[in-house]
Amino acid sequence: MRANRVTIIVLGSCLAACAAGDRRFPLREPVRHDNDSASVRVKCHDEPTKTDPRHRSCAPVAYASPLYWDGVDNIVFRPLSEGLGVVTSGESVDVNSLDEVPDSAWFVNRIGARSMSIAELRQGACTSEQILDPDGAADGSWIIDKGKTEGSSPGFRVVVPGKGKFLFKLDTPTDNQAERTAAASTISAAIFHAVGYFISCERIVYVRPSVFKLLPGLVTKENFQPDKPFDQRAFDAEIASATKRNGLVRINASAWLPGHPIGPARYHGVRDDDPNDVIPHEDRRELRGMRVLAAWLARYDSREANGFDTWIADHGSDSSPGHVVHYQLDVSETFGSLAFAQGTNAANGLSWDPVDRRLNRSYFVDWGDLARDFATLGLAVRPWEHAYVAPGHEMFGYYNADHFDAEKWKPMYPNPAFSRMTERDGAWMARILARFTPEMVRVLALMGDFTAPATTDYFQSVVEKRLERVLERYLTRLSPIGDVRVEDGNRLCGVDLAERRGVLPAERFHYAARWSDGAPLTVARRPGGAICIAMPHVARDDGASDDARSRYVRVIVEDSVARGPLVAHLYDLGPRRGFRLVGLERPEKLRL
Amino acid sequence: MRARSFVCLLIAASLWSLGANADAEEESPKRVPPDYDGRGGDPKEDGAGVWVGRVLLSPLYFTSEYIFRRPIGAMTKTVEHNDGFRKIYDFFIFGPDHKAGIVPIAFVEFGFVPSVGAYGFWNDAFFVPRNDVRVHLEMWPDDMWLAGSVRDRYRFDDHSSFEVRANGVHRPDQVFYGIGPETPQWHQSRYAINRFDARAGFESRFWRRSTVELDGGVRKVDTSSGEYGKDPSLEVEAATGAFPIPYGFARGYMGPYGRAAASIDTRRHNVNTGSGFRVESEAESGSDFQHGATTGWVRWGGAATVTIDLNDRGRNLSLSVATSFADPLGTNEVPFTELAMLGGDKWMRGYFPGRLMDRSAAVAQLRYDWPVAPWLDATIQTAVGNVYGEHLQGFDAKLLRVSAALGLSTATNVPLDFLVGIGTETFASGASVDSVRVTVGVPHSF
Repeated sequence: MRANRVTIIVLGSCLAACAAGDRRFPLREPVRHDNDSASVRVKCHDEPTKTDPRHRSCAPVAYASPLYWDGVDNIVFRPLSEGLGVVTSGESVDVNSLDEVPDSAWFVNRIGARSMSIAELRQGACTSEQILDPDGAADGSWIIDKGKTEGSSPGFRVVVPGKGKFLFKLDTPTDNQAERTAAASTISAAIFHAVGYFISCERIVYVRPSVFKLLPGLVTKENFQPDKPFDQRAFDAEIASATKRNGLVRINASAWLPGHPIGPARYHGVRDDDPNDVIPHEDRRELRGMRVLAAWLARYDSREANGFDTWIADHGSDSSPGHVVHYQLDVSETFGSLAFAQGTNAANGLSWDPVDRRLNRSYFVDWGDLARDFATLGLAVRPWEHAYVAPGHEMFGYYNADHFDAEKWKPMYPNPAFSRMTERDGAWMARILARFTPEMVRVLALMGDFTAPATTDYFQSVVEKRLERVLERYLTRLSPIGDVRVEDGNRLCGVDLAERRGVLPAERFHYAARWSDGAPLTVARRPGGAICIAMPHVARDDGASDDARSRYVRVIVEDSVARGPLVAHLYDLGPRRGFRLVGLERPEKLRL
Repeated sequence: MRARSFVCLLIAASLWSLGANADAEEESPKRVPPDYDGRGGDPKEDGAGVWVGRVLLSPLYFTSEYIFRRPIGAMTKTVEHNDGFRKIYDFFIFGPDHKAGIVPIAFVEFGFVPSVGAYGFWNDAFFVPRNDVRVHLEMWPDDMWLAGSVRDRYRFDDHSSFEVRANGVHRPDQVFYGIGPETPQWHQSRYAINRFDARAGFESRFWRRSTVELDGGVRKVDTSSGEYGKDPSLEVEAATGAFPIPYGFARGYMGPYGRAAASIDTRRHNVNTGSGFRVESEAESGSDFQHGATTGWVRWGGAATVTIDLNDRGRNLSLSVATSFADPLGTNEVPFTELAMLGGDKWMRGYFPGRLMDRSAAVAQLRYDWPVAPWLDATIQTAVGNVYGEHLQGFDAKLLRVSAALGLSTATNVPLDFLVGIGTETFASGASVDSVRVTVGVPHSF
């Protein structure tokens, strides 16, 4: 009797343990579309305007990102509180069964999910209606109706007949980085869009000054500066100092975003008054993984103020119902912007170079680096001490590929989502970036429209090498096999993105596949990293239910380069209906 | 009839509700997060150690989060929302091009009265290009300590400048231990000083960091009883037989002075990298017309420094040897406040300013500076030295003392320092640590 009781207890415990450890993927389609773009109603609130003091808005309350507090909080208080609160984090939440991010109000799978033509890459986030034709515009037809109210580069808002509103930002040659700003905006926006983020349409246009007409009474405001009148004299001064080609002013034209603006999204928490916003932003893979993209492009200014949310109302303006779309904004500091003017300030002898060379390598105030340098008496050579400005290419500041370490890249100050990026998040972004072929990198470089061909060639080589460094790091730990699908009902196929992108020579890759019980499977290999694995059926057409445990199988695939395998989870529905892929895992090491 | 009326009223009320309160439709509830992978996501389990840590640190966490972070965040956001930071900036740094401003400063040196004050600057002052005015005021109300300086410097170019300067200090807490190499720490006493100095000078940087300086002015000094904490004043300590009353105490002096200094420094100007060597010398003659036209003294000395930048990136190891002398001119002695001194902000920083004083001083210092952040350098330095009689009379290696200091310093026009230092007794007395010095803030000597 006692033995039976013990047996029951032991068996029951085992069953409970097995049940707890049995994390089968259900037999269902992967979540490919999140429903956070569904129309929702938000609470209306008073939001007086200049023309309507009694206006009520039924959009979420606009959030104004506090410039100083965001920096101070992320440098000092948030890390301190999280340290003392022993705050831990896990894997990203919004990841579907195929280890991918569903389309959502934050992200749409583009180059990572389908092939992208060169024309589409070049178009970026622009619609055909947003492509400007300054040559065909009459003098005075482009109306400047607002001065720029934030940021540090000169610019103004323009209404272009038939095209809408644009923010025009001028390239200025005063800081040795002429042409870089507009090029960076255009190229980085195209990359962000291709990857899947929502971003504004950015183009480089060459405009004759006479096409503009300035409305009276405008003001402009730069960061940390008071309002200044933006009159004809100020406009003429900006035009005079801007970069030109053949008498035409080189301008970065940024199309106005659709919808009702409600300020940026934060990199942590949720927007309380958005019913669709339920995943803490620091746990969203598309925000965490953005860190790898930012490292490639040297987007050190990855703070919340450089994001933008708009409310897309079903019936226009700021009415309910509607939904929020989350944009990235202002990528003009990529590719080597120097945050502050080079050289010394003669009055106090201070050089900004110590700050500039640390950008992308250390936080603006980096307690860890400070403590390390203090404790080690500064005897270790630090990454920013390798930083150099390539002679003849001062435009790109300290942006180069030598000594670039994607894993150690840092933004200007800590970003809550970036800080929580896991290996899986990084690998996800790397699989997307692996789709940028060398030809595409060349096209992107040409989009910068640099005057000197040598500049384009240099820029292309740096961007390509940095991409290679990113892929070497993030495609060689977790399995880089993507595009996984079942073909012909009984072949599991995929593409080793590391091989396809040439992270290592093809002869370094050796593929092996097996069932989870160790029985080997045959791998057919094709050039360019394509593989297919023939799977003999283990279940019949009839008999057990479709989602029975007996039909559940796992295939493990290794490429001899990545440390971890790909584990594909399938249901064998029998010879007639074939295998159904229901899940993918990319563990760091195998645990079955 | 009644039913019809009731129905009409009901319809009317419903229509009114829809029209007048169209925006009172209920907001949508928060959506349920999807089960993205069908398995309830990756379970995150915090181990027991994490929970133990959370419990133990919870008081600190609550303090950090609810006493500091959230209130400071709310206040900062409110100030920022109302453009407060720009207004504060415009209040302290003003003028059309923000060429003038006032910056609050403070300095704490444990063992002395702290100070709070202001640093004022006006570049291109009086609308004269290259003419800069600086004003520096410090005080501590309780103890009536007050110091200030006004300086107007005209830069001819990037190499040379002419300056007119006046500074004064009144403070009651200056330290005195006696004169000579073996003054013990426990003879610490205090005296008050009133010092006023007005001068004009010329400086020229003729090659790299090599400079020539010439200046002259008038100086008036008075000393009297001082106080700080439980320390006795100088004359009270002298009455115990600890040391004789030094020459110049309670006597004061006033008169013109002249100073010349020159240095040859092979290191490049305005960069903190690169090896090199430096030789410098200085001489200053002072006088006391209050007590006779023939009363005067001369202070003179020099230093040689070799600096090696270990990797050409600002890790500077330097070895210096310095001597200074004070000799009377005429029949009277050198006032004790004009003697050769060690301690303070230049040599043997582990000691209080003026800790060691006599007719001559000799010191050797090994120093290592390295950058730890933009515009922030760390320093570690150790020195051996002491004061001796006339022209190093009585020099004995066993009478040397050791000073060591570790600190941080900003490389800005208004430097911010943090320093911890120690000083020892002489080797003959065992070289045990007998003084500790801690300073933080904007140093007086900038």
